Amino acid sequence: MANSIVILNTLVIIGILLCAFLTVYFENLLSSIIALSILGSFTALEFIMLHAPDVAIAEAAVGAVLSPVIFIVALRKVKGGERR
Amino acid sequence: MISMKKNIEVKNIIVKCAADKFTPVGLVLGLYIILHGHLSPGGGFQGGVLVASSVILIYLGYGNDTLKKTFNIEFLRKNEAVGAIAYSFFALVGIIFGANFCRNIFYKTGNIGDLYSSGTIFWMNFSVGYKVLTGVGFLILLMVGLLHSDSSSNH
Repeated sequence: MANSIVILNTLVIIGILLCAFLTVYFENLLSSIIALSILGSFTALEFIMLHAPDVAIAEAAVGAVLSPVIFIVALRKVKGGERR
Repeated sequence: MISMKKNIEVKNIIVKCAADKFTPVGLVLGLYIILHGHLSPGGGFQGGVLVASSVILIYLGYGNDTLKKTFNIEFLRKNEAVGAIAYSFFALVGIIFGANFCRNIFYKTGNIGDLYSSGTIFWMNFSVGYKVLTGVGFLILLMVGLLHSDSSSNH
């Protein structure tokens, strides 16, 4: 039982690291924002595993919904940041 | 890009149906988290952000015109201050009744585990939730309005 929790925890941490790497790696900014949103979801999962559901709700609401929307609005305001 | 334009009506229907289904769920879950802040995980901030995210869902499903018709941005801006004043008032109640600032009083009413068993903590949670949901809703409305005013003036 404890072993499966360790494996799941490791997978979630690998997901966090992968999403953080992809956020920096992508050249398309919309893909980068989507990777950041998935990073927020993985962080919320990790907070649930560390027995902090209080922080997990805030992280799932802010990191996965609110800040990507603000980033997408800013991205549309500068029109992708490419043509100028 | 051309194939995306062909499917845009179908996508609109899907997004609108998803917004219809998820907005009441988000509202009820957010209000539950605000009202049960002293019993279960979460509190004013988390529930307020969840309630305010329904503004995003309404915008995604119905567009900017419905958003402007539904929400009064001045009302939200004023009611954020009302939430802050309510929090200060419920914190000052502790001083008025002979204890320190933010002290919980009237906590001996009701049984442990009931909804009305926590005294002023319940009302402080409620005012924090009110402040956060009006403030974040105001923020989202401001950014969406900024986006649409800019794109309409440029084209």
